Amino acid sequence: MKSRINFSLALLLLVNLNFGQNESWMLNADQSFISYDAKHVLHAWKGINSNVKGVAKIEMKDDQIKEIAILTLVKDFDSNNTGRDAHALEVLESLSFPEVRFYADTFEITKDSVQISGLFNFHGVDQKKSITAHLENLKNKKILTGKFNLIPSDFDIALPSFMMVKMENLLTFDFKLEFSK
Amino acid sequence: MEIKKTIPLFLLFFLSQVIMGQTNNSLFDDISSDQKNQELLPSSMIFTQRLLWGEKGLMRSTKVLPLNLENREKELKIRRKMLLAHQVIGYATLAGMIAQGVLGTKLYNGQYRYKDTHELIGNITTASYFTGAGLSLFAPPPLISNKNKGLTSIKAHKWLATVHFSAMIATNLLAESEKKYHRTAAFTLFGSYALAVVSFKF
Repeated sequence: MKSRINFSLALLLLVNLNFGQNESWMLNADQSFISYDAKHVLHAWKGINSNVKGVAKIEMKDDQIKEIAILTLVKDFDSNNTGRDAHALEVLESLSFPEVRFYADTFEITKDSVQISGLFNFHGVDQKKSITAHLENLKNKKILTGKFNLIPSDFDIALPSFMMVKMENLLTFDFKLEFSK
Repeated sequence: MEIKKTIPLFLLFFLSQVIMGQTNNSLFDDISSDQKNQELLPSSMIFTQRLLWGEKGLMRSTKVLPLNLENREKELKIRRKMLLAHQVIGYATLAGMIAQGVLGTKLYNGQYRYKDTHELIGNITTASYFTGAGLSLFAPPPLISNKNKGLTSIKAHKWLATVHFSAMIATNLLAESEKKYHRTAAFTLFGSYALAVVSFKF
């Protein structure tokens, strides 16, 4: 009786470990970026962040992404205008909220695109978001590219103004995230 | 006795469940940035800002606003308000300069009835100019100093500021002397000031 229980438990443990086995694939920062486009009535600009950190959990059984976590610092966005970037750090209260985080654990894959549902943490506010990305599966490498919008006021960000006119309440992000084994 | 022997297996099973069920926080632990902490002060700042807000500035030595994260957040809010006021006063000053250009030209052409008005608007414009300049010069510093090479809008804005600042002083000093020089200084002031306003990009 005792050996049967032990055998069953050992089997359960083995099955559990085997089926749940995931690998962590790290984001290749050199090949990844996140950029934003913003607009004011007088002009538009772009800021790029090439210092993105991330990790993806890949289920070995089916070679599919199960989870991703992306983290980047507000101060790493560069719009090629120091005054503007300094102003952005003030608006985004970067001393209190230095990071932007995105975590997702729901992936609906259709052909070469994937619907990613997850949670943004930006300016200290959590917002659920669904993003459509193009997924490229290479050997020991997965590349996600795509575009999504965020509304600054949803994250309690006070829109900055210039010449008494506020910037547009919309940020369009482009991204390329390359995870490798 | 039998149950005791199965405990390690139960524990192992439980542990495997915990490992598999890692939360998103543990994923972020893997990638947490060691560069998260932003420097409180920029690597360089203008001397007027250093005097007040530098590491050993007046605000620190008098303990009005010791240098820490909480106070820097407050300072940055003050900075935004001061620079917004700098912007508004800047437009008003530019309007004053345009009015002075029109009135000054009339005076130059012999229409002396505008002399008092020219002087009055001149004083108001000078006062608003130095108020605006003070708001910029003594505002708490930003978080970062200039990182872009080459000519940028903020650099152009600052270089032009040295030109119009000198021209503003010259315009006032030459007000009672040779009209030709006063006029030249005034137009240099207006041109560089207008350019500084236009060159500044959000």
